[in-house]
Amino acid sequence: MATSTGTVQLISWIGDTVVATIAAPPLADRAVFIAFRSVDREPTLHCKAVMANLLVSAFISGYPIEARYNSNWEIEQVTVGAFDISPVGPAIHGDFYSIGGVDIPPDVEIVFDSDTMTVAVDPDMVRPHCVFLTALPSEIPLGRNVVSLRSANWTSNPVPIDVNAGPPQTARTLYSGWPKHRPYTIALAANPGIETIEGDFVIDPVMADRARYHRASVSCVRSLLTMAEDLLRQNDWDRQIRFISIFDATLSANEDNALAQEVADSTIMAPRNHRLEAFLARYDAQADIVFVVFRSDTHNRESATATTDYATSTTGGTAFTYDGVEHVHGYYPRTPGSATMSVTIGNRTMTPFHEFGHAASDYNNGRVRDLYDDNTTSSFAINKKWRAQSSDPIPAIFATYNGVDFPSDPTRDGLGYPPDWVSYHPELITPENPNLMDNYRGGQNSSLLSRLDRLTYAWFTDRLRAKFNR
Amino acid sequence: METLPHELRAALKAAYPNLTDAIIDRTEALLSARMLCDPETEQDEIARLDRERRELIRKEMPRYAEILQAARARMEESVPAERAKVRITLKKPPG
Repeated sequence: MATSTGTVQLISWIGDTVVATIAAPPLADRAVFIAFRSVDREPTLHCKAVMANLLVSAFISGYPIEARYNSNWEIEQVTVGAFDISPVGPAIHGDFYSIGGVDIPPDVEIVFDSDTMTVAVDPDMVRPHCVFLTALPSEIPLGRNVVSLRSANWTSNPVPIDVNAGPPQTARTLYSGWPKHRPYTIALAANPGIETIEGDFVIDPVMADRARYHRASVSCVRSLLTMAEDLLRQNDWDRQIRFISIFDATLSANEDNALAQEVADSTIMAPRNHRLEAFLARYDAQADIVFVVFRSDTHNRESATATTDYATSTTGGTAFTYDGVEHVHGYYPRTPGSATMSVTIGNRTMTPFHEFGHAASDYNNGRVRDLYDDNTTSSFAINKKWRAQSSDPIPAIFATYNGVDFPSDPTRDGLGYPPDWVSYHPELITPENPNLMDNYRGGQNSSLLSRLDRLTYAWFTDRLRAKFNR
Repeated sequence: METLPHELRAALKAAYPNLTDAIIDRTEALLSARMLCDPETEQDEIARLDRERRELIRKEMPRYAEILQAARARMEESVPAERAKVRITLKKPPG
Protein backbone atom coordinates (compact mmCIF):
# COMPACT_ATOMS: atom_id res chain seq x y z
CA MET A 1 0.00 0.00 0.00
CA ALA A 2 1.39 3.41 -0.99
CA THR A 3 0.29 6.80 0.23
CA SER A 4 0.09 10.16 -1.48
CA THR A 5 -0.67 13.28 0.53
CA GLY A 6 -1.45 16.63 -1.07
CA THR A 7 -4.09 18.61 -2.91
CA VAL A 8 -6.32 17.29 -5.67
CA GLN A 9 -5.25 19.05 -8.87
CA LEU A 10 -7.53 17.37 -11.37
CA ILE A 11 -10.50 15.06 -11.15
CA SER A 12 -12.49 13.51 -13.93
CA TRP A 13 -14.82 10.61 -14.75
CA ILE A 14 -13.76 8.14 -17.40
CA GLY A 15 -16.51 5.62 -17.86
CA ASP A 16 -17.08 4.03 -14.46
CA THR A 17 -13.80 5.30 -13.12
CA VAL A 18 -12.90 8.47 -11.19
CA VAL A 19 -9.37 9.64 -11.91
CA ALA A 20 -7.70 12.15 -9.60
CA THR A 21 -4.30 13.76 -9.75
CA ILE A 22 -2.75 14.48 -6.37
CA ALA A 23 0.02 17.02 -6.16
CA ALA A 24 2.42 16.92 -3.23
CA PRO A 25 5.43 19.02 -4.21
CA PRO A 26 8.32 18.37 -4.53
CA LEU A 27 7.14 14.87 -5.42
CA ALA A 28 5.74 14.28 -8.88
CA ASP A 29 1.98 14.48 -9.35
CA ARG A 30 0.35 11.10 -8.83
CA ALA A 31 -2.69 9.95 -10.83
CA VAL A 32 -4.84 7.53 -8.90
CA PHE A 33 -8.33 6.20 -9.47
CA ILE A 34 -11.50 4.69 -8.05
CA ALA A 35 -13.19 2.11 -10.26
CA PHE A 36 -16.91 1.31 -9.87
CA ARG A 37 -17.24 -2.30 -11.03
CA SER A 38 -20.37 -4.29 -11.82
CA VAL A 39 -19.20 -7.00 -9.44
CA ASP A 40 -18.93 -4.56 -6.52
CA ARG A 41 -21.52 -5.18 -3.83
CA GLU A 42 -23.62 -2.37 -2.42
CA PRO A 43 -21.43 -1.60 0.64
CA THR A 44 -18.35 -1.42 -1.57
CA LEU A 45 -20.07 0.89 -4.07
CA HIS A 46 -21.23 3.10 -1.23
CA CYS A 47 -17.72 3.30 0.21
CA LYS A 48 -16.30 4.22 -3.21
CA ALA A 49 -18.97 6.88 -3.69
CA VAL A 50 -18.03 8.45 -0.36
CA MET A 51 -14.34 8.45 -1.34
CA ALA A 52 -15.17 10.02 -4.71
CA ASN A 53 -17.23 12.71 -2.96
CA LEU A 54 -14.32 13.46 -0.65
CA LEU A 55 -12.00 13.84 -3.63
CA VAL A 56 -14.45 16.25 -5.30
CA SER A 57 -14.85 18.26 -2.07
CA ALA A 58 -11.09 18.41 -1.62
CA PHE A 59 -10.66 19.49 -5.25
CA ILE A 60 -13.17 22.34 -4.83
CA SER A 61 -11.99 23.50 -1.41
CA GLY A 62 -8.27 22.99 -1.92
CA TYR A 63 -8.07 21.00 1.30
CA PRO A 64 -5.23 18.45 1.30
CA ILE A 65 -6.08 14.77 1.42
CA GLU A 66 -4.27 11.55 2.04
CA ALA A 67 -4.97 8.80 -0.51
CA ARG A 68 -3.84 5.23 0.03
CA TYR A 69 -3.68 3.11 -3.09
CA ASN A 70 -2.57 -0.36 -4.16
CA SER A 71 0.12 -1.32 -6.64
CA ASN A 72 -2.33 -0.66 -9.50
CA TRP A 73 -2.79 2.92 -8.20
CA GLU A 74 -6.36 2.16 -7.30
CA ILE A 75 -7.50 4.13 -4.24
CA GLU A 76 -8.54 2.08 -1.24
CA GLN A 77 -8.76 4.84 1.39
CA VAL A 78 -9.14 8.64 1.40
CA THR A 79 -8.60 10.80 4.48
CA VAL A 80 -9.20 14.52 4.75
CA GLY A 81 -6.72 15.98 7.19
CA ALA A 82 -7.81 18.04 10.17
CA PHE A 83 -6.88 21.71 10.53
CA ASP A 84 -6.08 23.42 13.81
CA ILE A 85 -8.09 26.49 12.83
CA SER A 86 -11.53 26.85 11.29
CA PRO A 87 -12.69 29.86 9.28
CA VAL A 88 -16.29 30.73 10.20
CA GLY A 89 -18.45 31.31 7.14
CA PRO A 90 -17.51 32.68 3.74
CA ALA A 91 -14.76 35.28 3.24
CA ILE A 92 -16.44 38.38 1.79
CA HIS A 93 -14.89 41.80 1.39
CA GLY A 94 -16.41 44.20 3.93
CA ASP A 95 -18.20 41.47 5.87
CA PHE A 96 -17.34 40.20 9.34
CA TYR A 97 -14.68 37.53 9.33
CA SER A 98 -13.72 35.21 12.14
CA ILE A 99 -11.60 32.13 12.61
CA GLY A 100 -11.98 29.58 15.38
CA GLY A 101 -9.14 27.65 16.97
CA VAL A 102 -7.59 26.49 20.21
CA ASP A 103 -5.08 28.33 22.40
CA ILE A 104 -4.71 31.17 19.91
CA PRO A 105 -2.02 33.54 21.24
CA PRO A 106 -2.99 37.19 21.81
CA ASP A 107 -0.34 38.56 19.43
CA VAL A 108 -1.66 36.66 16.45
CA GLU A 109 -2.10 38.10 12.96
CA ILE A 110 -4.27 36.73 10.17
CA VAL A 111 -2.29 35.96 7.02
CA PHE A 112 -3.93 35.62 3.61
CA ASP A 113 -1.60 34.12 1.05
CA SER A 114 -2.40 34.14 -2.68
CA ASP A 115 -0.48 33.76 -5.93
CA THR A 116 0.23 37.47 -6.13
CA MET A 117 0.66 38.69 -2.58
CA THR A 118 0.61 38.00 1.12
CA VAL A 119 -1.74 40.15 3.19
CA ALA A 120 -1.31 40.17 6.98
CA VAL A 121 -4.10 41.71 9.06
CA ASP A 122 -4.28 42.48 12.80
CA PRO A 123 -7.54 41.12 14.23
CA ASP A 124 -9.95 43.53 15.92
CA MET A 125 -10.41 41.08 18.77
CA VAL A 126 -8.57 37.97 19.89
CA ARG A 127 -9.72 35.29 22.29
CA PRO A 128 -7.99 31.93 22.78
CA HIS A 129 -10.69 30.23 20.72
CA CYS A 130 -11.44 32.88 18.09
CA VAL A 131 -10.22 35.95 16.23
CA PHE A 132 -12.59 38.57 14.83
CA LEU A 133 -12.29 41.05 11.99
CA THR A 134 -14.83 43.87 11.84
CA ALA A 135 -14.60 43.80 8.07
CA LEU A 136 -12.52 41.68 5.71
CA PRO A 137 -10.10 44.14 4.05
CA SER A 138 -10.56 44.73 0.34
CA GLU A 139 -6.80 44.47 -0.14
CA ILE A 140 -7.08 40.68 0.04
CA PRO A 141 -7.22 39.41 -3.55
CA LEU A 142 -10.45 37.85 -4.74
CA GLY A 143 -10.42 34.13 -5.38
CA ARG A 144 -8.29 31.43 -3.87
CA ASN A 145 -6.20 32.37 -0.83
CA VAL A 146 -4.71 30.30 1.93
CA VAL A 147 -5.44 31.71 5.37
CA SER A 148 -3.43 31.03 8.51
CA LEU A 149 -2.85 32.56 11.92
CA ARG A 150 0.68 33.57 12.81
CA SER A 151 2.29 34.83 15.99
CA ALA A 152 5.85 35.14 17.22
CA ASN A 153 5.91 31.56 18.50
CA TRP A 154 3.17 29.76 16.64
CA THR A 155 1.72 29.33 13.18
CA SER A 156 -1.52 27.52 12.42
CA ASN A 157 -2.20 25.14 9.56
CA PRO A 158 -2.89 26.93 6.28
CA VAL A 159 -6.52 26.61 5.19
CA PRO A 160 -7.61 27.26 1.58
CA ILE A 161 -10.47 29.74 1.25
CA ASP A 162 -12.18 31.58 -1.60
CA VAL A 163 -12.50 35.35 -1.11
CA ASN A 164 -15.62 36.95 -2.63
CA ALA A 165 -16.45 40.53 -3.49
CA GLY A 166 -19.82 40.47 -1.78
CA PRO A 167 -22.45 41.34 -0.93
CA PRO A 168 -22.05 40.76 2.81
CA GLN A 169 -24.32 38.14 4.32
CA THR A 170 -27.68 39.10 5.81
CA ALA A 171 -27.41 36.63 8.67
CA ARG A 172 -24.00 35.45 9.73
CA THR A 173 -22.55 33.31 12.46
CA LEU A 174 -19.61 35.12 14.02
CA TYR A 175 -18.72 32.23 16.28
CA SER A 176 -20.57 28.95 16.42
CA GLY A 177 -20.29 28.30 20.15
CA TRP A 178 -20.62 24.86 21.66
CA PRO A 179 -21.59 22.17 19.11
CA LYS A 180 -24.97 21.38 20.64
CA HIS A 181 -28.64 22.09 20.24
CA ARG A 182 -29.26 25.73 21.15
CA PRO A 183 -25.95 26.86 22.60
CA TYR A 184 -26.20 30.05 24.65
CA THR A 185 -26.55 32.67 21.94
CA ILE A 186 -25.98 36.41 21.77
CA ALA A 187 -27.41 38.07 18.67
CA LEU A 188 -26.44 41.42 17.21
CA ALA A 189 -29.17 42.85 15.02
CA ALA A 190 -29.22 46.03 12.98
CA ASN A 191 -32.58 47.65 13.73
CA PRO A 192 -34.75 47.88 10.62
CA GLY A 193 -37.28 50.33 12.06
CA ILE A 194 -38.05 52.62 14.97
CA GLU A 195 -41.47 53.06 16.54
CA THR A 196 -41.73 56.77 17.24
CA ILE A 197 -43.44 58.39 20.21
CA GLU A 198 -46.37 59.14 17.91
CA GLY A 199 -46.70 55.44 17.09
CA ASP A 200 -45.36 55.70 13.53
CA PHE A 201 -42.70 53.44 12.10
CA VAL A 202 -39.65 54.97 10.45
CA ILE A 203 -36.58 53.38 8.86
CA ASP A 204 -33.65 53.29 11.26
CA PRO A 205 -30.71 55.21 9.72
CA VAL A 206 -28.36 52.44 10.88
CA MET A 207 -29.55 50.44 7.88
CA ALA A 208 -27.68 52.88 5.63
CA ASP A 209 -24.39 52.50 7.49
CA ARG A 210 -23.39 48.87 7.58
CA ALA A 211 -19.72 49.62 8.26
CA ARG A 212 -20.63 51.44 11.46
CA TYR A 213 -22.98 48.66 12.48
CA HIS A 214 -20.06 46.27 12.18
CA ARG A 215 -17.88 48.45 14.39
CA ALA A 216 -20.59 48.81 17.03
CA SER A 217 -21.19 45.06 16.99
CA VAL A 218 -17.54 44.24 17.55
CA SER A 219 -17.49 46.89 20.31
CA CYS A 220 -20.29 44.96 22.01
CA VAL A 221 -18.40 41.67 21.78
CA ARG A 222 -15.18 43.35 22.91
CA SER A 223 -16.98 44.83 25.92
CA LEU A 224 -18.39 41.44 26.91
CA LEU A 225 -15.25 39.37 26.42
CA THR A 226 -12.10 41.44 26.84
CA MET A 227 -12.53 43.93 29.69
CA ALA A 228 -11.75 43.51 33.40
CA GLU A 229 -15.12 41.89 34.13
CA ASP A 230 -14.52 38.23 33.28
CA LEU A 231 -18.02 36.86 33.93
CA LEU A 232 -18.41 35.56 30.40
CA ARG A 233 -14.86 34.44 29.83
CA GLN A 234 -14.10 32.76 33.16
CA ASN A 235 -12.62 29.31 32.44
CA ASP A 236 -12.81 30.22 28.73
CA TRP A 237 -16.60 29.94 28.97
CA ASP A 238 -17.03 32.14 25.97
CA ARG A 239 -16.03 29.15 23.82
CA GLN A 240 -19.56 27.97 24.52
CA ILE A 241 -21.30 31.17 23.43
CA ARG A 242 -22.65 31.49 19.93
CA PHE A 243 -22.52 34.98 18.39
CA ILE A 244 -24.65 35.82 15.37
CA SER A 245 -25.29 38.99 13.36
CA ILE A 246 -28.33 40.03 11.34
CA PHE A 247 -28.29 43.00 8.99
CA ASP A 248 -31.25 42.84 6.62
CA ALA A 249 -31.42 45.97 4.48
CA THR A 250 -34.42 44.66 2.56
CA LEU A 251 -36.90 45.15 5.40
CA SER A 252 -39.36 48.00 5.66
CA ALA A 253 -40.18 49.77 8.91
CA ASN A 254 -43.37 48.33 10.33
CA GLU A 255 -44.88 46.67 13.37
CA ASP A 256 -43.17 43.35 12.62
CA ASN A 257 -39.72 44.67 11.79
CA ALA A 258 -39.19 47.54 14.23
CA LEU A 259 -37.02 46.30 17.09
CA ALA A 260 -36.71 49.61 18.96
CA GLN A 261 -39.02 52.34 20.19
CA GLU A 262 -38.59 55.89 21.41
CA VAL A 263 -39.54 56.57 25.03
CA ALA A 264 -41.52 59.78 25.48
CA ASP A 265 -40.07 62.68 27.50
CA SER A 266 -36.61 61.17 27.35
CA THR A 267 -33.76 60.40 24.98
CA ILE A 268 -34.10 56.67 25.63
CA MET A 269 -34.42 54.09 22.88
CA ALA A 270 -36.01 50.93 24.25
CA PRO A 271 -36.01 47.43 22.77
CA ARG A 272 -39.31 46.13 21.42
CA ASN A 273 -38.57 42.86 23.10
CA HIS A 274 -41.89 41.25 22.17
CA ARG A 275 -40.88 41.33 18.48
CA LEU A 276 -37.46 39.76 18.83
CA GLU A 277 -38.26 36.06 18.82
CA ALA A 278 -40.33 36.21 15.64
CA PHE A 279 -37.74 38.45 13.99
CA LEU A 280 -34.92 36.01 14.72
CA ALA A 281 -37.00 33.03 13.60
CA ARG A 282 -37.08 34.42 10.05
CA TYR A 283 -33.36 33.76 9.89
CA ASP A 284 -33.68 30.36 11.57
CA ALA A 285 -32.09 31.91 14.64
CA GLN A 286 -32.83 31.94 18.36
CA ALA A 287 -31.05 33.92 21.03
CA ASP A 288 -30.79 34.35 24.75
CA ILE A 289 -29.70 37.99 24.45
CA VAL A 290 -30.22 40.43 21.57
CA PHE A 291 -28.32 43.67 21.08
CA VAL A 292 -30.42 45.91 18.85
CA VAL A 293 -28.00 48.30 17.16
CA PHE A 294 -29.73 51.55 16.19
CA ARG A 295 -29.09 55.14 15.20
CA SER A 296 -31.11 58.15 16.27
CA ASP A 297 -30.40 61.84 16.62
CA THR A 298 -33.16 62.32 19.20
CA HIS A 299 -33.24 59.07 21.21
CA ASN A 300 -29.67 57.93 21.50
CA ARG A 301 -29.51 56.61 25.05
CA GLU A 302 -29.26 52.86 25.51
CA SER A 303 -31.56 50.73 27.65
CA ALA A 304 -32.38 47.08 28.26
CA THR A 305 -35.18 44.68 29.03
CA ALA A 306 -34.58 41.61 31.17
CA THR A 307 -35.17 38.05 30.07
CA THR A 308 -38.41 36.21 30.74
CA ASP A 309 -37.58 32.54 31.05
CA TYR A 310 -40.03 29.75 30.42
CA ALA A 311 -41.51 28.28 33.55
CA THR A 312 -39.50 25.37 34.92
CA SER A 313 -42.38 22.98 34.29
CA THR A 314 -42.13 23.78 30.56
CA THR A 315 -38.45 23.52 29.74
CA GLY A 316 -36.63 22.89 33.01
CA GLY A 317 -34.38 24.91 35.24
CA THR A 318 -31.91 24.85 38.12
CA ALA A 319 -33.28 25.77 41.53
CA PHE A 320 -31.52 28.24 43.84
CA THR A 321 -32.30 29.85 47.14
CA TYR A 322 -31.98 33.54 47.94
CA ASP A 323 -32.49 34.44 51.59
CA GLY A 324 -34.14 31.05 52.06
CA VAL A 325 -36.68 31.51 49.26
CA GLU A 326 -36.54 29.13 46.29
CA HIS A 327 -36.26 30.50 42.75
CA VAL A 328 -35.16 29.03 39.43
CA HIS A 329 -32.54 29.69 36.79
CA GLY A 330 -34.62 28.82 33.70
CA TYR A 331 -32.93 27.03 30.84
CA TYR A 332 -34.66 28.71 27.90
CA PRO A 333 -36.02 32.23 27.40
CA ARG A 334 -39.65 32.77 26.48
CA THR A 335 -38.66 36.34 25.66
CA PRO A 336 -34.93 36.96 25.20
CA GLY A 337 -33.17 39.64 27.16
CA SER A 338 -32.39 42.66 25.01
CA ALA A 339 -30.56 45.94 24.91
CA THR A 340 -30.52 48.80 22.46
CA MET A 341 -27.05 49.96 21.51
CA SER A 342 -26.40 53.19 19.67
CA VAL A 343 -24.24 52.72 16.61
CA THR A 344 -22.17 55.63 17.93
CA ILE A 345 -20.82 53.76 20.98
CA GLY A 346 -17.08 53.97 21.30
CA ASN A 347 -14.61 51.26 20.45
CA ARG A 348 -13.91 50.52 24.11
CA THR A 349 -16.84 50.98 26.43
CA MET A 350 -18.60 49.17 29.24
CA THR A 351 -22.07 50.27 28.10
CA PRO A 352 -22.82 46.91 26.41
CA PHE A 353 -21.80 44.98 29.52
CA HIS A 354 -23.85 47.24 31.81
CA GLU A 355 -26.92 46.66 29.66
CA PHE A 356 -26.12 42.95 29.43
CA GLY A 357 -26.28 42.94 33.23
CA HIS A 358 -29.94 43.95 33.03
CA ALA A 359 -30.77 41.90 29.93
CA ALA A 360 -29.36 38.62 31.20
CA SER A 361 -31.28 38.84 34.48
CA ASP A 362 -34.83 37.55 34.75
CA TYR A 363 -38.00 39.53 35.39
CA ASN A 364 -39.47 36.69 37.45
CA ASN A 365 -36.46 35.07 39.13
CA GLY A 366 -34.15 37.97 39.89
CA ARG A 367 -33.56 41.36 38.33
CA VAL A 368 -30.20 43.05 38.29
CA ARG A 369 -30.92 46.70 38.96
CA ASP A 370 -29.16 50.01 38.51
CA LEU A 371 -27.32 50.99 41.67
CA TYR A 372 -26.84 54.70 41.01
CA ASP A 373 -30.22 55.69 42.43
CA ASP A 374 -32.26 55.01 45.53
CA ASN A 375 -35.29 53.53 43.78
CA THR A 376 -37.30 51.07 45.78
CA THR A 377 -39.25 48.24 44.20
CA SER A 378 -41.40 45.34 45.23
CA SER A 379 -39.93 43.10 42.52
CA PHE A 380 -37.19 40.60 43.40
CA ALA A 381 -33.80 42.29 42.93
CA ILE A 382 -30.53 40.42 43.21
CA ASN A 383 -28.16 43.32 43.81
CA LYS A 384 -30.10 45.93 45.77
CA LYS A 385 -31.80 46.07 49.17
CA TRP A 386 -33.34 48.75 51.29
CA ARG A 387 -33.20 49.74 54.95
CA ALA A 388 -36.26 51.00 56.76
CA GLN A 389 -34.50 54.30 57.55
CA SER A 390 -31.45 55.88 55.99
CA SER A 391 -30.04 56.20 59.52
CA ASP A 392 -30.20 52.44 60.06
CA PRO A 393 -26.82 50.71 59.81
CA ILE A 394 -26.05 48.76 56.66
CA PRO A 395 -26.32 45.07 57.56
CA ALA A 396 -23.00 43.21 57.46
CA ILE A 397 -24.54 40.38 55.44
CA PHE A 398 -26.29 41.48 52.27
CA ALA A 399 -27.92 38.16 51.37
CA THR A 400 -27.61 34.41 51.66
CA TYR A 401 -27.39 32.82 48.23
CA ASN A 402 -27.49 29.03 48.01
CA GLY A 403 -26.49 28.82 51.66
CA VAL A 404 -23.52 31.18 51.37
CA ASP A 405 -23.50 34.57 53.10
CA PHE A 406 -22.47 37.49 50.89
CA PRO A 407 -21.36 40.69 52.69
CA SER A 408 -22.71 44.15 52.00
CA ASP A 409 -20.69 47.00 50.58
CA PRO A 410 -20.49 49.47 53.48
CA THR A 411 -19.06 52.33 51.40
CA ARG A 412 -20.74 52.01 48.00
CA ASP A 413 -17.67 51.50 45.81
CA GLY A 414 -15.85 54.32 47.53
CA LEU A 415 -18.40 56.71 45.97
CA GLY A 416 -20.27 56.73 49.28
CA TYR A 417 -24.00 56.32 49.93
CA PRO A 418 -25.77 59.71 49.99
CA PRO A 419 -27.01 60.31 53.54
CA ASP A 420 -30.67 60.14 52.56
CA TRP A 421 -30.40 56.80 50.73
CA VAL A 422 -31.99 53.71 52.19
CA SER A 423 -30.68 51.36 49.52
CA TYR A 424 -27.43 49.42 49.82
CA HIS A 425 -25.43 46.99 47.70
CA PRO A 426 -23.42 43.75 47.90
CA GLU A 427 -19.66 43.76 48.41
CA LEU A 428 -17.55 44.44 45.34
CA ILE A 429 -14.99 42.12 43.76
CA THR A 430 -12.65 45.06 43.17
CA PRO A 431 -13.44 47.71 45.81
CA GLU A 432 -11.14 50.21 44.15
CA ASN A 433 -13.49 50.54 41.16
CA PRO A 434 -17.23 51.34 41.16
CA ASN A 435 -19.76 48.61 40.49
CA LEU A 436 -20.51 48.06 36.81
CA MET A 437 -24.22 48.49 37.58
CA ASP A 438 -23.57 51.74 39.48
CA ASN A 439 -22.15 55.07 38.31
CA TYR A 440 -19.09 53.18 37.11
CA ARG A 441 -17.68 56.19 35.32
CA GLY A 442 -17.48 58.06 38.61
CA GLY A 443 -14.39 56.31 40.00
CA GLN A 444 -10.75 57.29 40.02
CA ASN A 445 -9.65 54.60 37.57
CA SER A 446 -10.65 53.70 34.04
CA SER A 447 -14.30 52.70 33.74
CA LEU A 448 -13.08 49.67 31.80
CA LEU A 449 -11.84 48.21 35.11
CA SER A 450 -15.28 48.17 36.71
CA ARG A 451 -16.73 44.83 37.69
CA LEU A 452 -19.85 43.36 39.23
CA ASP A 453 -20.27 42.71 42.94
CA ARG A 454 -19.50 39.29 44.41
CA LEU A 455 -23.11 38.22 44.82
CA THR A 456 -24.28 39.21 41.34
CA TYR A 457 -21.20 37.56 39.86
CA ALA A 458 -21.93 34.30 41.71
CA TRP A 459 -25.62 34.44 40.79
CA PHE A 460 -24.89 35.14 37.12
CA THR A 461 -22.26 32.40 37.06
CA ASP A 462 -24.84 29.85 38.20
CA ARG A 463 -27.50 31.26 35.90
CA LEU A 464 -25.22 31.10 32.88
CA ARG A 465 -23.98 27.62 33.84
CA ALA A 466 -27.58 26.43 33.96
CA LYS A 467 -28.15 27.80 30.46
CA PHE A 468 -24.82 26.58 29.05
CA ASN A 469 -25.54 23.05 30.27
CA ARG A 470 -29.18 22.90 29.18
CA MET B 1 -29.76 52.51 31.29
CA GLU B 2 -26.63 54.17 32.58
CA THR B 3 -26.14 57.29 34.64
CA LEU B 4 -26.58 60.64 32.94
CA PRO B 5 -23.12 61.74 31.76
CA HIS B 6 -21.95 64.81 33.65
CA GLU B 7 -21.74 66.80 30.37
CA LEU B 8 -25.49 66.33 29.91
CA ARG B 9 -26.21 67.16 33.53
CA ALA B 10 -24.17 70.32 33.12
CA ALA B 11 -26.11 71.22 29.97
CA LEU B 12 -29.40 70.94 31.84
CA LYS B 13 -28.13 73.09 34.70
CA ALA B 14 -26.78 75.67 32.26
CA ALA B 15 -30.17 75.91 30.60
CA TYR B 16 -32.00 76.07 33.94
CA PRO B 17 -29.79 77.85 36.47
CA ASN B 18 -32.16 77.10 39.34
CA LEU B 19 -32.24 73.40 38.57
CA THR B 20 -30.78 71.30 41.38
CA ASP B 21 -28.98 67.97 41.24
CA ALA B 22 -31.76 66.57 43.43
CA ILE B 23 -34.38 67.27 40.76
CA ILE B 24 -32.22 65.79 38.01
CA ASP B 25 -31.54 62.76 40.22
CA ARG B 26 -35.26 62.32 40.85
CA THR B 27 -36.01 62.50 37.13
CA GLU B 28 -33.29 59.98 36.42
CA ALA B 29 -34.46 57.68 39.20
CA LEU B 30 -38.00 57.68 37.81
CA LEU B 31 -36.68 56.96 34.33
CA SER B 32 -34.44 54.16 35.58
CA ALA B 33 -37.29 52.61 37.57
CA ARG B 34 -39.54 52.78 34.52
CA MET B 35 -36.95 51.13 32.27
CA LEU B 36 -36.50 48.27 34.75
CA CYS B 37 -40.22 47.45 34.73
CA ASP B 38 -41.42 44.45 32.75
CA PRO B 39 -43.21 45.96 29.73
CA GLU B 40 -45.35 42.84 29.52
CA THR B 41 -46.74 42.79 33.05
CA GLU B 42 -46.10 46.18 34.64
CA GLN B 43 -47.82 48.63 32.31
CA ASP B 44 -49.64 50.34 35.17
CA GLU B 45 -46.40 51.00 37.05
CA ILE B 46 -44.74 52.25 33.86
CA ALA B 47 -47.64 54.66 33.29
CA ARG B 48 -47.47 55.91 36.89
CA LEU B 49 -43.71 56.51 36.71
CA ASP B 50 -44.02 58.20 33.31
CA ARG B 51 -46.74 60.46 34.63
CA GLU B 52 -44.70 61.58 37.62
CA ARG B 53 -41.60 62.11 35.49
CA ARG B 54 -43.52 64.05 32.83
CA GLU B 55 -44.93 66.40 35.46
CA LEU B 56 -41.51 66.95 36.95
CA ILE B 57 -39.99 67.73 33.54
CA ARG B 58 -42.83 70.03 32.55
CA LYS B 59 -42.45 71.96 35.79
CA GLU B 60 -38.67 72.09 36.14
CA MET B 61 -37.06 71.66 32.70
CA PRO B 62 -39.58 71.78 29.86
CA ARG B 63 -36.87 71.60 27.19
CA TYR B 64 -35.31 68.54 28.85
CA ALA B 65 -35.18 66.20 25.84
CA GLU B 66 -34.16 68.94 23.42
CA ILE B 67 -31.25 70.02 25.63
CA LEU B 68 -30.05 66.47 26.14
CA GLN B 69 -30.20 65.75 22.43
CA ALA B 70 -28.15 68.80 21.57
CA ALA B 71 -25.61 68.15 24.32
CA ARG B 72 -25.18 64.54 23.37
CA ALA B 73 -24.73 65.47 19.72
CA ARG B 74 -21.94 67.84 20.78
CA MET B 75 -20.16 65.32 22.96
CA GLU B 76 -20.69 62.37 20.69
CA GLU B 77 -17.30 61.95 19.25
CA SER B 78 -17.21 60.57 15.81
CA VAL B 79 -16.11 57.04 16.53
CA PRO B 80 -12.83 56.60 14.69
CA ALA B 81 -12.95 53.75 12.27
CA GLU B 82 -10.61 51.19 13.72
CA ARG B 83 -9.39 50.26 10.30
CA ALA B 84 -7.74 46.89 10.31
CA LYS B 85 -3.97 47.20 10.09
CA VAL B 86 -3.05 45.57 6.82
CA ARG B 87 0.47 44.70 5.65
CA ILE B 88 0.89 43.67 2.05
CA THR B 89 3.86 41.82 0.59
CA LEU B 90 3.83 41.46 -3.19
CA LYS B 91 5.24 38.30 -4.67
CA LYS B 92 7.63 38.36 -7.57
CA PRO B 93 6.16 36.90 -10.74
CA PRO B 94 7.78 33.59 -11.69
CA GLY B 95 10.83 33.89 -13.97
